[in-house]
Amino acid sequence: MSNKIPLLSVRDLVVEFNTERGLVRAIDGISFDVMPGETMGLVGESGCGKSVTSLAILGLVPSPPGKITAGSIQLNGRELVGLPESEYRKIRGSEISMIFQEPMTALNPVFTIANQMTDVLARHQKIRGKQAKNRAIEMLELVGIPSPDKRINEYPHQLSGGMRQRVMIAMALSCNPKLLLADEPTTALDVTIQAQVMEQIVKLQHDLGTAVVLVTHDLGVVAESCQRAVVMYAGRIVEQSPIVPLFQNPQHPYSAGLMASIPRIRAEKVDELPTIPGTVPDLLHLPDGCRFADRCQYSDERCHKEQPDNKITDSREVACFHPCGEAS
Amino acid sequence: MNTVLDTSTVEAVEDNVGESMWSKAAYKFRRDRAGMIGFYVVVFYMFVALGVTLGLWGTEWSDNNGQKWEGVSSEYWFGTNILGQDIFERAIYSTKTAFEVGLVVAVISTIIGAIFGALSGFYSNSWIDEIILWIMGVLDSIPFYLFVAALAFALSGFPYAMHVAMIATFWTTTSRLVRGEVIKLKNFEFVEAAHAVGVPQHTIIFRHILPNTFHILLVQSTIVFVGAIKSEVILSFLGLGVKDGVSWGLMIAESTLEVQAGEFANFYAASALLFILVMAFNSFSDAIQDALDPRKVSA
Repeated sequence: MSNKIPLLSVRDLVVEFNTERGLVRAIDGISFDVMPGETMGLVGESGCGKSVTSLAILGLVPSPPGKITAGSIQLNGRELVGLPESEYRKIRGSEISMIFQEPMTALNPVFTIANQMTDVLARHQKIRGKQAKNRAIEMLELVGIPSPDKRINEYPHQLSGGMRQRVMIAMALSCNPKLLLADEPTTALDVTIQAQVMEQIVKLQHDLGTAVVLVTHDLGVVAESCQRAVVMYAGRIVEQSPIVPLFQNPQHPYSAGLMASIPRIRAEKVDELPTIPGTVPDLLHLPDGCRFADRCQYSDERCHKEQPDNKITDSREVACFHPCGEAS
Repeated sequence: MNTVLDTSTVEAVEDNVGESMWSKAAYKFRRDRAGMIGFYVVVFYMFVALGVTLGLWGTEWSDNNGQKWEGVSSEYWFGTNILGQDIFERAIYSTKTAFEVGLVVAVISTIIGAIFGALSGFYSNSWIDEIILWIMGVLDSIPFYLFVAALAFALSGFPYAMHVAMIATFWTTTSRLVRGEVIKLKNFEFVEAAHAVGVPQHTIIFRHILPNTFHILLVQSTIVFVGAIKSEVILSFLGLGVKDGVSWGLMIAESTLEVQAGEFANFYAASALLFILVMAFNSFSDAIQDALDPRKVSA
């Protein structure tokens, strides 16, 4: 890794949920850093703990039943785990912001855009009235909403999905946060709008110097916009790497499987898209060894018995006894 | 990069700019004929009640000006009752009584219902919810008239015992409706988004979620309004209701003696005025309900 001081530093984070069927470890000891101004992808299939990770960073793990039981989250060296609610509220929206997956329901239907945007500004920047409205219009213009001075007085149902997501981005960035968590920001949008919205996020990130954690299962989006990616599987980080080597030469068999299953134009025609056989293990009944062992073509006895530690080589980190490129 | 950002690809929907949920609802409401008639009738009643409150008419409701049971005449439009009082004056004055009871009960029970419903919905399955549900269950299980009688006795002499009793029983329905809606709303992402920008919890409940239940509150308060007026008539008839002044219920109670003697004027006047108001209010509240139905509005 580089010598810079990380903006966000997550160490050995454990998040547990107390369910009726027992204690579930949704996140089991993950560690990663986000550098200032960097875009980091957080990749994995459904239910592997991506969204819980972003909620944990914001201190919004639903409690009960959820709880951060171990580890630390530091923003600019300041410990966030265990921070009192009133302190955390000051950080949310001003230093860390979040964009949600569903633009249709992420805006309050009974208030105008102006109302909702100036509310955030008044809360964190103490800007009110005309000044706040002008700032909001400025932000809307920045995210590419046509005639923002008119649009700002509309209700969410009068905007299309793409526009609502732009409004969400404008709102999230209006207080100049240092870190933006984007939880599948483009999943609910159609492909052309997806590209526009992603482009917007990347551009604003450049202009404003915000670090972005992009939570997604869309590897295409990650390849296009991130500098680094963290691959999660069943609550653990299996691979962490800069984007180019990750896509060219994935080391963990799970990452390799994900890369192989991206639909793309290939030199020779394949009858079936390669998939990863099996399903994610039940978080209540996790295997003793590597969590991916049952689905892994390289697994041996050791994989089923021991959990591999994360091995760091150069700028990459992989949790596997038989990293691809070595054993295969 | 800029070509991708070309905003001309975002469709320009300019036709309904500035049209809110409310202006759409108002438009729909205005097209509902029965609702509009109901609305005008209610406004007329309200005007009459306001006049009584300001002392413009209905001032002679307790004066024994005429003879017993005088017929319909230019002086006594609806005739006189057993005591020689002008039935028209009394019927008009009762409009004020009805509106006073209806408004007080509707407003207060809606506010209480909204607050408790929002709290129990937002904290559903916690101890707060349990306590509120338990209170509602207890209040609902007491027979209404027994409850009023008990309260009237307990608050002996307090002129608003009837109001208190009605509020105490009517808020539970509103509260249950709001609770259900809040349970649905609190899982919407805008609530999570509000958390994510650092809005405190009480602000989220009362400023972000509760306004979303406003259509329920509006409709429910009109229903409670009518319910309160009807209950007032029954309670007054039973002698548990209005203590000073006159109401349609008291008029009907008086008329039990007169009906035996074949004099129906008092009974007809009170029943007809009550019937018209309740009918009008029902069609008015039906129309509001239709106009505010979000599935129909947003279409």
